Amino acid sequence: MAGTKKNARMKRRAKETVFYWSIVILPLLQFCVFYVAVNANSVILAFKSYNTETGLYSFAGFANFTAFIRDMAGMPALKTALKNSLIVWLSGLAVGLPLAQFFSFYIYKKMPLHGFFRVMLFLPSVVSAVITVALYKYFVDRAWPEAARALFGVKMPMPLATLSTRFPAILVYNVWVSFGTGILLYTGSMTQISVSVAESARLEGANSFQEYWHITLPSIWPMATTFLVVGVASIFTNQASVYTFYQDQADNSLYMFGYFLFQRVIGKAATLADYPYAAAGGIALTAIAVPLTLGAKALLEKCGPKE
Amino acid sequence: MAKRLKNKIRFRAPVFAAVIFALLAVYAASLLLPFLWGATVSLRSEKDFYLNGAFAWPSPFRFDNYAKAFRYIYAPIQYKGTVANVYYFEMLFNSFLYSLGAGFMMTLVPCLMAYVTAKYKFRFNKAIYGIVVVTMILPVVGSLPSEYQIARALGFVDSFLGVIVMKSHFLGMYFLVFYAAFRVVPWEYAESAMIDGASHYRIMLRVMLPLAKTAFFTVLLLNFIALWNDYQSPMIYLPNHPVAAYGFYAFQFSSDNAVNSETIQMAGAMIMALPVFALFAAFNKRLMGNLTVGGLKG
Repeated sequence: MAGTKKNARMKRRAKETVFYWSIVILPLLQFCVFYVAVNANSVILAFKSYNTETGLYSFAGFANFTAFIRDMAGMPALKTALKNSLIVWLSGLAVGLPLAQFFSFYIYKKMPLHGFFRVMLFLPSVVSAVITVALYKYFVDRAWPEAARALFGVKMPMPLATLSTRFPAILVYNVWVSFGTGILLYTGSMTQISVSVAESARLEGANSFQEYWHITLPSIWPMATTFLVVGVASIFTNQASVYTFYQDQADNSLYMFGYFLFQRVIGKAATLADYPYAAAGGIALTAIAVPLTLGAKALLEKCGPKE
Repeated sequence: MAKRLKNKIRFRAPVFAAVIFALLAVYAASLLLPFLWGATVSLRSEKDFYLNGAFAWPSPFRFDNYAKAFRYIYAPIQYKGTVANVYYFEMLFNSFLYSLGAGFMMTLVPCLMAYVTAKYKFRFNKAIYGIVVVTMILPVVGSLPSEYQIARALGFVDSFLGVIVMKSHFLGMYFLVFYAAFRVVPWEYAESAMIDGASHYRIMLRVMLPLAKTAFFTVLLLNFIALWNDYQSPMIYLPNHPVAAYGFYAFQFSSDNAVNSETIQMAGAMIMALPVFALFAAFNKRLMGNLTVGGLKG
């Protein structure tokens, strides 16, 4: 009797095992090729150089790393890239993130016009960046200066065509289009909060801000942490739509790490000889990004609000 | 003192709501204005735009701007050693194939992986969950040249099937969305089906996946739209099958004087925005369904 039960259990487990592995095996294979192998190849590539005459790659030691570090120290475009990348990340952190949470709270509390605002906030995620960039570019450069002159009598330069205002204009664009998915996920997370918790807080006299601060924020904190932790990596990968605005013709004042590496591989002047340098640059930046990300995660877990 | 503070806080709460409302109103206006302005400009003549300024009403309405923009939205490709142009409808078809194929796989794969990880007790689950979390936390920068090399070596460049395979991964935020969705689905439904003799595949397809269909379709639509709007991946991996987003990108940077005016550019933008607006109008409730993600444990 016991043996029959054991056999049945083993048979059931074998079926489960076959089912389980039949589902996970192909995605794991895909992961091995397009994540593990790609990154392993990236490391190998970083130690190679390309001979344009023979069309062959050969071992180059640390030459690509040395070149990248030398450029980081001396190349004005890369110094600007570091500054710009940090500014874009900080603007998202200091402006984009709190606004996304406040807006989500407003929608979650079903305050006036919440449905309309929800659609509006999500709109830039629906429309392609190439369209929003085109609209923004023409509106900001053609309509703004004319409106400023008509309304305030001020002569305003074209923000995206003027060297000194280009980067701030791009910064504003990036915050402007950044809310979509965040709003969806935050409001989704807020609706999971027990109604009775919010109601009892109300009965105890808490106002909307207190409810947000003491109940909503601690409840959505794990998700906010996810965004914040993942966001640290964006310092090194974000292009801030610079390629969409200017192709590979952006001037040095607009450089970001993401843009620099992308145009080094995809730009019109890019050749196979640029690949090892870009791979080495990527690895060098990964070496900086990993401890930063882990540090941010540990800090947020330690210092975040508790439910 | 405490009473005064309480009253003060109470007084400040409507201010909190009013401030958010004001910010949202300004934001909504800042979004609507460029779209309305773009739509108006798309119906004006170039001469009218330069003579009467950026804000004048179209007079007369120039619908032919749309016909002109439509003719000029194309992408040049290399075909049998010569340069050929791919026009709007073919690019639209390419966009559809790319967005639907890759979007479906980008939704299905994390959904299935999250399902088995959340519902079946295997030691390997920790490894799968760990891979997702670690790849999200530990950023890898600059792997594009290597990825391109491997894609070329596998013959995936310029192949829809190849690009779809490349996109069929389980990594990222949506795995966590599905994982959170399946964690709260009771296993009792599956047990009842098992007693009735249903196989694991049948339980997955007929019982469990339908319970997560809201999350599935929301993620599918989000992926579809993200891919529809993506011009960079197709530009790199599908150079001879340009998608509509890339077509408009090329249109924007075209050196042809015929399309370099504000009016034609805005007409082009409106043509490109139309399919997405139609999709959004049809599915906005589904698209903005509730999604939730847990934290990054690990």
